[in-house]
Amino acid sequence: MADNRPNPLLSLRTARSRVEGLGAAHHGVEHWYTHRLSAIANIPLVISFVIIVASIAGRPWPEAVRVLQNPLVAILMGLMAISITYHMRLGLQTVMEDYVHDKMLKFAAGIANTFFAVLIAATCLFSILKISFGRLPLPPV
Amino acid sequence: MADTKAQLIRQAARPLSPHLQVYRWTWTMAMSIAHRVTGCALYAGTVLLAVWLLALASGPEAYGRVAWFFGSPIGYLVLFGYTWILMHHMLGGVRHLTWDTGVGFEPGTRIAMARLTAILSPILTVLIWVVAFVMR
Ligand code: HEM
Repeated sequence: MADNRPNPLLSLRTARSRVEGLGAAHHGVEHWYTHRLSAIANIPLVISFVIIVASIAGRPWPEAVRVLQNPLVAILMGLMAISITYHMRLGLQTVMEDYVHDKMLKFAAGIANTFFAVLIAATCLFSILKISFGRLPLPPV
Repeated sequence: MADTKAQLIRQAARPLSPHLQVYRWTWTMAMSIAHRVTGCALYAGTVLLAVWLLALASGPEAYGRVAWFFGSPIGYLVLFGYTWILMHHMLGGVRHLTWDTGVGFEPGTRIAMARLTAILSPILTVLIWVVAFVMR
């Protein structure tokens, strides 16, 4: 997050201008805003995800792979993976700030939250790209 | 003397801020809690998405194993639950986003919006499953 506190000995900014609009945590509304932004992005992406999964459900592997190889499907799935992992990381941070008060535990939980979100995002994106570009051994049509 | 007085003040039964168990349940309160619970459940559930995509990318054997699990009674239960939770959280999210614009805070509207989340989410869930089965 943006640390808006430069060396006060070198800065000519007044104390007031350094804190204005940032609040006690010095993050301003960044967390709130990016959470809403990802929430809005989630709506069309989750709807398309549900349609994609419903159309794949119960199909054999080659057919499922061919659906995901469609560029539009692959792009939508990739965007969804990015948007939901970003959104869920911000969301769980809020939940943890409400319930975890021990300083060390809070610190560790924050790291674990980020690691989990990045791991899920990386796994999903790797898989989507491999399905599209990985020359999977599909039977001829 | 001053010490004992301070002690007395500290020991006095101080009013605590009311917590969940003393509130009368309302629709908005229930749906607020549900939004948090569903958000956390979806968080954990992303493991299923990652495993499904990884299996799909790994080949027919891996996909067969994952598809077998999702096709089992427990798998169906998990997927149906996940669909419901996802729809509930999405509708709840739309409600929150609406409120974020400052709209919908009147007593009647507020409760109607919360009720709508609870009523629409199972309907959408069943609809999705019916369509998925028809498309097979
Ligand atoms: C489908 C579209 C979605 C929308 C519109 C949406 C919207 C929202 C909104 C507006 C909030 C903040 C609620 C508040 O003000 O308290 C929120 C919280 C949250 N969301 Fe989502 N969300 C969506 C999908 C997801 C998904 C897929 C996940 C997880 C993978 C997720 C995880 C969370 C979590 C963990 C929270 C924090 C809960 C809390 O603070 O009580 N959301 N969501």
